[in-house]
Amino acid sequence: MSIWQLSLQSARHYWRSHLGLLLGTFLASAVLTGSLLVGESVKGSLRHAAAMRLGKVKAAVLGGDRWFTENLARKSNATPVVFATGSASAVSGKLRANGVQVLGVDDTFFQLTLGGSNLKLASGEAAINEALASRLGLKQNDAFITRMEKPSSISRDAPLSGEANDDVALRRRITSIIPADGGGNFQLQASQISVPTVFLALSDLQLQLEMEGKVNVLLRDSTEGLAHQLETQKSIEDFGITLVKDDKTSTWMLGTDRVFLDNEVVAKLLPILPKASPVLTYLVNGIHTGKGATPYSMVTAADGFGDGAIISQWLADDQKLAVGDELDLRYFTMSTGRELSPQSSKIKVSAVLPMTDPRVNETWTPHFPGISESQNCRDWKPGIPMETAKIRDQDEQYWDEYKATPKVFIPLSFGQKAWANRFGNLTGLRFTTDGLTEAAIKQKILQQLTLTDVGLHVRDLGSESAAAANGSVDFGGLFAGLSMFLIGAALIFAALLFLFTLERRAGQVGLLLAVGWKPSQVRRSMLAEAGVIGVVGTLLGTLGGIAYTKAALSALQGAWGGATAGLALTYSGKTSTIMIASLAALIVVVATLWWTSRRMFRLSAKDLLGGAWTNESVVRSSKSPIWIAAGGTVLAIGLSLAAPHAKLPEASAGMFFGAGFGLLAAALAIASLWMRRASLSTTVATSLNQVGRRNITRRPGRSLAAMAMMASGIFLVVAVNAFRMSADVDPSRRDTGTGGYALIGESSLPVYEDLNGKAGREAFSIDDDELKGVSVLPFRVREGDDASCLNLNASQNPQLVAVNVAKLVSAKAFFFTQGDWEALTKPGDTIPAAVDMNTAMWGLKKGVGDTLDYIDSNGKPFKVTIAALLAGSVLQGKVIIDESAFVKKFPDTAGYRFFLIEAPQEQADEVSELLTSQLEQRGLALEPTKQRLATFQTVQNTYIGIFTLLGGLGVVLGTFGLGILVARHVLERRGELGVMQAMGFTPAALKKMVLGEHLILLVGGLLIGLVSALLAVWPNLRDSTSDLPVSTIAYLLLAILLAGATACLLAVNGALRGSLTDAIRKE
Amino acid sequence: MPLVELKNVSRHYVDPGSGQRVKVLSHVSLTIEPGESLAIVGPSGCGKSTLLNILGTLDLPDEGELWFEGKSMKELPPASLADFRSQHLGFIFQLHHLLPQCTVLENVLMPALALKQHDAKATLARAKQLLSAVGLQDRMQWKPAQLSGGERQRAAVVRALINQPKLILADEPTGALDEANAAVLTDLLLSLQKETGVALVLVTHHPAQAARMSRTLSLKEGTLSSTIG
Repeated sequence: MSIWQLSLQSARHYWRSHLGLLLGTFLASAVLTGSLLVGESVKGSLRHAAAMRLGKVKAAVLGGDRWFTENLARKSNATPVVFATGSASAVSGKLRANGVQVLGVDDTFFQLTLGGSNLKLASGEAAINEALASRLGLKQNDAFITRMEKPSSISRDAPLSGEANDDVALRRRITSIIPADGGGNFQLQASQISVPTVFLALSDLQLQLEMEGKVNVLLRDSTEGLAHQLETQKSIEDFGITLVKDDKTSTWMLGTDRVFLDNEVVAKLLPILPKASPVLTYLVNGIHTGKGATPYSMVTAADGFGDGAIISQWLADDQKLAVGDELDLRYFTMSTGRELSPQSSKIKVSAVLPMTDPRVNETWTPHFPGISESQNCRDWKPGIPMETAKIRDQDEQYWDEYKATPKVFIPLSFGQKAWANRFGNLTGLRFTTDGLTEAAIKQKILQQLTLTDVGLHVRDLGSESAAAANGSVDFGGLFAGLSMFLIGAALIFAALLFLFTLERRAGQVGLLLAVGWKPSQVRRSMLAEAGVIGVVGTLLGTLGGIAYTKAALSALQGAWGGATAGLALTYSGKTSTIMIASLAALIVVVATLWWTSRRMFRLSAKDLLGGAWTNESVVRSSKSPIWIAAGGTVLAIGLSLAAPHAKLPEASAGMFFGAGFGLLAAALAIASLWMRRASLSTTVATSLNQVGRRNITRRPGRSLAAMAMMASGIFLVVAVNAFRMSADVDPSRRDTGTGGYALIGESSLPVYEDLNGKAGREAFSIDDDELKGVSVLPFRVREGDDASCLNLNASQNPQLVAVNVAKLVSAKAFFFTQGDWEALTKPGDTIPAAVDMNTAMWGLKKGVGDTLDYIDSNGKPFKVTIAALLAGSVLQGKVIIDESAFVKKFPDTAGYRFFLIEAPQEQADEVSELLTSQLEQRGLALEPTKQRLATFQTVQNTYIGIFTLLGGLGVVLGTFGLGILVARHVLERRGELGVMQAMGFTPAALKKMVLGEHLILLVGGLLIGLVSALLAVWPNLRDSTSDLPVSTIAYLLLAILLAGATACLLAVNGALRGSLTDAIRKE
Repeated sequence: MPLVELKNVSRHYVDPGSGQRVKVLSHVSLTIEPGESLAIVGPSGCGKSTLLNILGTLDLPDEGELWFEGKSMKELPPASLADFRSQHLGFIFQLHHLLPQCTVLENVLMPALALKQHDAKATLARAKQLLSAVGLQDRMQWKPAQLSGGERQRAAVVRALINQPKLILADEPTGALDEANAAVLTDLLLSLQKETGVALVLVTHHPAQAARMSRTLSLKEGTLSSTIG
């Protein structure tokens, strides 16, 4: 027979004794396996959601505001898509969905879906996804209205970019409701929440948006060779470049449909075009002289016209001007937003060009949206305020005859000084033909430019979605963490029962040692025996873990839905995960048993054979409890005194938590000291109760274990529950998560107007008085992933938002755990940003000083550094930078789409209603900041709820352990209790005594745990804005106490069953 | 050369109640020759078991030394002491301490597992032969719970002999048996001792049992005060 066989045989023989070990191992294994499988399943579900979201799409070029030719996509074997954001409403207008994505697609799009559908949409037809159908209650053949902004080839923020609010509303009949796997869940942002989507025929949407032949998104099922194919198939139209030949002067004018040429493009093309000359043409509000004024005229700045202003004969005639007269050019310039600033510049006339001069022609002027296509001057919609009354008949005649031909030519430097802006400082490049054909010129241009110069780069959506599906929250780790107390209780339970078995077999251990076995051999043999049970327990635990996972997933879809924010969860456990979890559980169990049994194997064979182990241990005096009591008390006092002075609430709360824990340790150490001292007491017990109390001190280790189990369980459950967050804060307070703002919201379409100004309000028919005392803080938004706790995906491209930080600085809004708003205004190599602490920690897994990578609108990478962390704010999920830095990187991202609104609390609802209704076309949706905060807090509170349940289960298991401990303790004393009965004590009196002594331990543990926990949560109690869930905690305490008392009662009853006097003989 | 020499051995304990040192053995010296049978008698608490534990290296003296076959045991580390016990000593306790999960044969073979090297076949044959010798040939595959008290103790005797020790230490081996079984076991023990030539130290309360040994020592107040017979 080998040691291994002995272990197997022993495991078989003592299987009943090992049931506790089996149960503990089963539980530890089941919970650990279950926790990891929950994580695995959440990840699997996210992967599934990503597959639904993207279908077979692996690569994309996202133009955003940049439009390129549909042909570019087709020639690259890619699917062309028009992507717009807007709103949708039922025909009745009663139900409206904001943030709707409107996709113009052809049949190739549906072939990229998981199901590979053959759906084809004809012009006038529409399909919608299930999310939109359910939101608006729409079904097949219903009609609905979708509204979106007509795209502009140039940022609406740019000067002369045309009218801002140019919307398209389409009424369509639904031919199909697309399921999730049919492309219905398609979206580019990594999120588990399906976005309401409208699908229209590509050509239909292009026509309606006046973007025939153009798209802004390209999708393909592989990244392989795509970048190369795009570069070989590109055309100058993909860069928005236009070429106009001026036959009169034998020159070419290279312009752009975006009005201003990108600096990158200019830098690359200027050196290669023959005799190229930069041109900047601008619309001035008026050309004033001492002799009169000519309204709304084009002025071209270019080199080659001398130092002064060369005017056309028409202008000279109009105002009777001559060389030497001074022109006062009046125009608007734009600042960071769309605020217009009237400016003027003076220049003297140096020459007059006759209208027959070949240079006097309209090729100098780019295509100005809202102007170029107009029949009359009075119809112009240039995007700046126009006083049409100033337009005279001769101006209309000029327009009829000469269109946008400049009336004045000025030096380039003069023009650029006045009109250069963040969108560019040139509107064209004029160069000689030099014998080159148009095709040759285009070829030359395309050789110089790459699509990334204008921000068109290939995104590897496959890799991005795989990384995102790894999840922002590791649910496996989270559940394992939240289950730690339960796992710990299971391990203690297993260890306790194993120890009892060992105790009973102390003689065997002694014998083996006596006959020459080494302690390590005996220990190995015992642990191998436990290992056999552990393997069985672990295997059963694996099955239990799968059941646990399914139960947890079901709860995460139901009562704990707050933690998974709409993700459809499916079980997807990997065999490798199950094996890792099982092995880990087995190792932990055996390691726990190895550690807890160490004392027995330190005893000599003589002691073990002599029964020293099973007899009450001699209580040894130890100084450790004194040190623990002193250290814990000092820690508790020190941290309690320091905590109120901590600058940050988290630090203060942390200190109080530490103080509570110190008090818990100190109290338990003092209890231990008392028991050790009392056990040495020579005072004569004069009552049965005193005898009972003396029994508490008989096995101080066991008594302390019972007390510590109760105290720790209660401490954890009470302390953690006290951190349940409540949104019941005063939203007008600046130092809260609301920042003092009453409302928060997003708009589907950008809002260009200043809602704090009279003009801006009037644009939406809002009387200035109606918004008295209301101010709007607008944010620019660069599309990206939501990095808040509501998105389970790991954010790969967190949403960047920009605000005029100076306004937040002066308002002293929000509370920071690190840094402040001013940190965002400090210049550096990277752009400083503020991020909500929870977003940084969980969503981005970054801290202050860490950087995030972004790509600007020209395709150039840049870095954003986290410089400040906001405490529990409504700004979760966003990376906030200063507006001035934002517009430099994303000049094309026009208008504002995210808003914080400050309003008197009592008017908040009214203001919300007014703005929502008046800005309906912009798809503005507002909600109270308090409500948004509560939505975020639901996640944290759900986690606390999960912990409470799992921790509560741990406490219940602990009480079982307590019951067994009590039963064991009483069984060991049956002989002496029999003797006491023989002496004349009634069984009832003995039962009362035994029960009483254990209830003292129970109540003692409860009090220690409760008091320590109350100290730990003192800041929450003191802070009136926090809501301590007293009733929840009271119920929990009562449940724990009742469970403990019941366990004791059952244990005592069981152990004292039968004749005690028989036990005397057995002893 | 004597098999065992105990030289001037003392052993104290600390009274847990008073905290005072209590002397159990005081300057005890003893020599045991190979093949000798020796009884140690004395009243309860006189230190008989302590003396036996020291002889069995299960306990260490506070003063004095234990020599075995001319070698001091004083400096040996615990692992070497364990090896020493498995090779040279056999133990019989008042309680049999048979492992209930193992058969009689397996229990008997248990000490062999502690040996670094042993001939498994020969050991098995020896176990069977010894079990037959004590009348347990039909009980080899039985579990201890199926045996009578006397049979269990006989199995414990065989277990003590399995590694062919040079010294058997028996601590009141018949203490838990009735008179008839006690007599049978004593006969058996002595006959096996004579047969195998192993030295035997027997701690007993019974003068009659002690009288059957070749020598008897009386332990009183920690001192081997007299030698009888």
